[in-house]
Amino acid sequence: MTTTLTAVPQAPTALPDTDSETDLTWKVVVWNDPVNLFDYVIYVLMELFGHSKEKAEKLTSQIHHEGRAIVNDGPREQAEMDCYRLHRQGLWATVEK
Amino acid sequence: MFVPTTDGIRITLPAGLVEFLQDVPTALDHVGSTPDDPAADRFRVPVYLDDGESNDEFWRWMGTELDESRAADRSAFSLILESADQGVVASLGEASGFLRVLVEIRLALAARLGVQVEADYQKLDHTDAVVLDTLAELQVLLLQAMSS
Repeated sequence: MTTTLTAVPQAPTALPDTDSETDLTWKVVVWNDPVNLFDYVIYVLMELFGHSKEKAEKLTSQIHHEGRAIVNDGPREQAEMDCYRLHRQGLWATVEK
Repeated sequence: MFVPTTDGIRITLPAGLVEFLQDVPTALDHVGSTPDDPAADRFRVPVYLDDGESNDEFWRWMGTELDESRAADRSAFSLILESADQGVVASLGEASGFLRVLVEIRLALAARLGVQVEADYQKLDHTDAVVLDTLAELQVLLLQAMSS
C-alpha cells in the first residue's frame, strides 16, 4: 500500500529589527561536532544556502579540520535566521561580527 | 528502504526497524524532562558566544518556533512509520522532516552517552555503538535517495 502524507510547516518569519547595526555584515559560523555526518553537513549547506557541491564540500572539510567555517554572511537579521535554519537541521551555528 | 519516485521518496522499512524507530518521537519529547540532560543542552547551544544578552534574546524569539518545528517533524515521522512496513510515499518536505528526526535522536543519544569528540565513539559499549551506527546508516541511505 502507498500513502501520501501531509506537508511539514515552514520556518517562522525573521526576528524583528531591533538593532541599528543591521547594516553591518554578520558572519554565520558552523562548528564541528563529532556526531553529524560529513555528507549530511554538505547536504544542509547546499540546501540552505544554495552552495555548489564543491563549495559545500570545501566548507565541510574546513569545519571538520579547523573546527569551524563561515558559511554565510549578511545583515544581522538574516544571519540570525540562517542560524535558526542551521539549528533546525541539527548543526551548531553561531553569529558573530 | 528509501527509493526516489516522481512524488517524493518511497519509504519501506522492515517491521523490526519500524518497531525500533517508533519510540524515537517519545524519546525526543522527553528531552530536557530531567535535570542536567545533556541532550537538552545540545539543542540550546549558544548562538552568540560572547554576548549573553543577545543569546538569550535569540532563544526567547526562536526557541519556541524551533520546538514547534521539531514537534511537527516528529508527527510526520510517526505518520510515516504507521505505514512504513508496507511502503509509504513521503514528499521531499516530509522526507526532510524524517531525516531531521533521525539527526535529532542521534544527537540526543550521543550527548547522553558523552560523545564530545570523535574518539569517544571508541569508548561506547557495543549496543550503544550499534544504535548510533544504525541511525547513521539510515541517514546516509535517505540522503542518497533525496539527492538522486
